[in-house]
This record gives sequence, C-alpha cells and structure tokens, in this order.
Amino acid sequence: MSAEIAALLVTGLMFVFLAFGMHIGFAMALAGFLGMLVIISPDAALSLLGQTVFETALNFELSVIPLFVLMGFFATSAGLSGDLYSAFNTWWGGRRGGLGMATVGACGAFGAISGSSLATAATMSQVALPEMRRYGYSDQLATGVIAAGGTIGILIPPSVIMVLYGILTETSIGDLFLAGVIPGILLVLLFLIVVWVVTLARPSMGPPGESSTAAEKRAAFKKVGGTLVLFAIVLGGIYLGVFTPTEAAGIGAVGAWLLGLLGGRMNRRTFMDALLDTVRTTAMIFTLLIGAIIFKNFMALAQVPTMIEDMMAGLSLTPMGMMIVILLIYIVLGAVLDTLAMILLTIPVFFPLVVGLGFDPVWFGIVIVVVVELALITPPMGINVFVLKGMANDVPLMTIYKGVMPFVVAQAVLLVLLLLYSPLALWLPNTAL
Amino acid sequence: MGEGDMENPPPPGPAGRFVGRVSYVLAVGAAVVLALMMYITFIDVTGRFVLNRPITGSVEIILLMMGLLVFLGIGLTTFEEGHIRVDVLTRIMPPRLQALVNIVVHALSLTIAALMCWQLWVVALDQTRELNETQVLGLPVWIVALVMAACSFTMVAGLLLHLHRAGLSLFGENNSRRRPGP
Repeated sequence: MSAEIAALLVTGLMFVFLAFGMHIGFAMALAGFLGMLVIISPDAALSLLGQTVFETALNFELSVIPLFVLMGFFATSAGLSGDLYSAFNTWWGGRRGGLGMATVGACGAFGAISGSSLATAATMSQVALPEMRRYGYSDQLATGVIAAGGTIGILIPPSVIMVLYGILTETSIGDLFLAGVIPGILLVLLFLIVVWVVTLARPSMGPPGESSTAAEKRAAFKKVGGTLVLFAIVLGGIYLGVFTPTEAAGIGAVGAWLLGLLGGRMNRRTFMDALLDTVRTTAMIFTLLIGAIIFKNFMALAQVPTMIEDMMAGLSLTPMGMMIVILLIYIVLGAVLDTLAMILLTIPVFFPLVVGLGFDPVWFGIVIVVVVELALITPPMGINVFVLKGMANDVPLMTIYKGVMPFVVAQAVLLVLLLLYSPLALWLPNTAL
Repeated sequence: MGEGDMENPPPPGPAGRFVGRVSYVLAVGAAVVLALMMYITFIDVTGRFVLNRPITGSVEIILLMMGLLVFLGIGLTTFEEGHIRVDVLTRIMPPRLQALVNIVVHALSLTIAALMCWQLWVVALDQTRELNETQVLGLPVWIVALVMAACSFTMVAGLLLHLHRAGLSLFGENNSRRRPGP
C-alpha cells in the first residue's frame, strides 16, 4: 500500500474512532500506530511508540503545562474570580449593562491567571450569574456574556492551547503568550462594546446595578491588586527575558497559592484538591499529546503535509486565499470537534503548509486560538454554552445561543482584524527582550 | 463532549474498587510530586535572581518529576473516565447499539494502551540494563522509567474495567429483554 493511501485510510479510520466516542488521545495513537505499520517495520513502529510515550512524559519543557494548570486551579479555589468580579462591579456596575461589562472585565482578568476557557466560564457563572439575575438582567444577555467572556481565557496568556501549539510546532511559547496580549485586550474591548450596544438597543436586558463611592472603588482595587501584580510578574518576566515560560509557570503557581493564603481561602483541603485536579488534567492532556505526537510522526513519515501542499497548489489561490480556505475548514471542524483535539489533530497537517506559504508561525498560533474561541461558543457544539447550561439549567439552550451571537460577531471582527493587520499580534513579541 | 465524564458510575466489584483505590493513592503521590515541582521551580528562579545561586541540575530533577507526575496520575484519569471523547453521535444511538459501540472503542483503547504499556516496559528494561542516569546529578533515570512502566498498568487496568462494564451493560440489557420484570 502506498503512503498516500495509508494516510487517507488512517485519517478516515481515526475519524470513525472519534465519531464512535473513542478517547481522543488513544484514537490518535492507534491510528498513527496502524499507519506506521504500513510504512515501517512492526519492530520499528513498536519501538517508536515506546520512545514517544517515554520521551513525551519525561520532558522538562512540558512542565509548563501542569504548573500553569495548577496556577489556574489555585486561582479558582482562592476565589479570585469573585474578588475580580466585585472590583469591576464597583467600577462599572452602576451604569446600564454595567454588570455585564464587569463580567467581561473579570473574565479577561481571570483569563490572565488561568489558561482555560472552561474554567473561566464555570467559575464566572458561579460568581456573576446570580448577581446579574438579581438585578433583572435577561437570561439571554447574562448567560451569553459569561459563555463568551470565558473564551477570553485562552487568548490572554497563560494559555494551555498556546502551550500545546508551541510544543507541536516548535514555536516559542513566550512569543505566543506575548502575541496574545493585544488581541486579548482588543477582544475585551469588543465585548464591552457589544454589551454597550445590546443594552443601548434594549435597555431592559441589562438594567443598571448599584453605584459605588470612590472609597469603595479604591478598596475593591486594593483587593485585586495582588492578582494584577501576579499577572504583571508572570508576563513581564517573560517579556523582559527574566525567565522562561516554564519558570514563569512555577512563579505563577506559587503566587496564586500565596494569594489564596493571604485571602484566607486556601487550606489543606483546597490545596490538595487543586493539586489533584491538576494531576487529573495533566494526565488527560498528556494522553492527548502523546496521541497527537504519534499521529504527527506518522503524518510526517507519510509526507501528508507535502501532499496537501500539492493539492492546495492546484487550487491556484493567493496565500491569503489559502489562509481563508484553511480557516473555513477550522470553523467547520470546530463545530463538531473538541477544541484541544481540533488543535492537536490539525496542526500537523496545516502548520507546514501555512509556514510554507510564508505566514508567521506565532501569528498563525494566535489566529488559530481566535478560531478556537469561535468554536467554543458556536452551535452545534459550543462547549462553553454547555457549561453555562449546566450552571443555569432553567435557561433553554437556544436562549444562551441567542445570547452569544453578538459576541460571535465581535470574535469574527477580531479575526478579520488579525488577518488584515498581523502586527496586532506580532508587535509585542518583536519588541520583547 | 465529555471532559471528566462523570455520568458513569465507577466500575463495580472488588476489582473495580481495588483499581480505584490504587489509582487514587498513586494520584496523591503525583500531587506531592507536583507540589515539590512547583516549589523547586520557584526556589530555582528566586535563588538565581536573589542569591545568584540556582539549584544545580534543577532541569534534571523536574524532568524526572514530569515522568512521575504524568504516569502516577494516568490511572486515576482513566479510572474516572477523565479522557476527552466526542459523544455527539453515540449519544443519539439506541442504548443497545451504544453499548456495542462502547465495547468496540474500549477494546481499541485497551489495545493501544496495552501496546504502550508493553513498549514502556521495553524502554524501562533497556534503561535498567544500562543503569541510565542523568548527566549532572547522576539521578537514576532507570528507576523513574520502571515506576512509569509499572504505573502504566493502572491505565490498562482502568480500560479493562471500562470494557468489562461495557460488556456487562450489553449483557444486562439482554437479560432484561429475556426476562421482562414481574
């Protein structure tokens, strides 16, 4: 059997495995391994399997994953989301749509210490949903803003998705983190505008909350000062070249733990829970990663990227035209696939092509993250929408989907801006030391 | 989409409880490794900047800890069905077909996991034969490799339990068909 046919069969087989609910990491590993059997000898394929498993786990650089995940879990159990929300609330809560804006702000700030969109959406719905309901917000806006706000978590560093992208493509994780900052802030601004416009058009959807005095605002700011300092240290350290992302992750985890201790919310129980949750997540991510690397090795051996390059060349499109085709494929995949799986599955195929077309790897990483954000809230999958549904069971799924739609438009605007003007992402890493 | 799909009850029976207990104890070990890893990274960086004295060979320590962390924890994640899967299609299948499909995918997962476990043992035994150590501190890589290989049994055991349960659910359905309730 030729490598081309093997590649096609194996990819098809893997999608069958996935559709039938096989664990994604194992499905990728099995498909990749079967493909290897066609190209190289069984002994070589087996030994490559063992080496990949061993070396992926025994990797210093990858310690960035558990440490950043731990930072996020500490931030969650330290109740930092609540502090952030009430801080933004004292600043903006008094205006029309203010609680919604506070949710966006708090999601952005929480995303700066947590690398997970799911975690951000889940913790924010506990904090912000009851408040917005208390002040008579429509369910549509209240759930929509949290589901969408949660997606900011993976664009503003640290971000687990960016780490995985960086590892698979050998792109600098530090550069990726820095490149996410400006688009992340821009997305927060776009979301704020969405809340403003929505409540301007229909004021009953987001009535004003209570106004706060200047003293209250200052007090609230002091409470979140620690969180801001932690973010500044973690990202500033990477920017100034003081430490690597791996080291930043260690500093961040200890910092989030200390913030929890200072806030009086961290005890032995919450400490252990955060550690165990991180252990669970780490094992899950590494199973995916091992599977993805086995699959990637097979794709490279079968020269699939070259095949696709030839195929795409036949389309005779400009590089930007190709990019748009690729992004459309991502958007379709994002509608049915889990976000981590989507990144891990597609990067080995598309990344060589994109770089071959002359696009910047860091820029492409950010574009991919924005596309993944879209996938997080667009039907029929939209896992963040499901998280919200789980937290607010009485709200129909359709209402939440309706609520996120204006935010989807904002994400699409960001995507277009990034396509048209790459310095939006690349300026900050290019100025880094 | 099931991330940490906890709808399924833990596998029944003494074997299930045993695997669950062992996986949990190992995961607690992983949690301790993780905490140490965090402190070591922190002390290493602050030591480098404040005292100009980083921890020698910290990279090697953390490298070995990573291997331990991942494999000490993999049993619990597998046991709790914490691996990500797509269940859009299976969710709309009739229950019996669902059970059948479940058996097939668990058997496939078990196959590749068993191959990984076997090959990890091959690597670990190679490392042991050479008594492989890290370059700077001379830490025993081979011991870590053996622990990783041993822990990978919990992953296989967890998948075996899930396969067993998937089989039971199909079999159980058969039973209830043959013997409609009183």
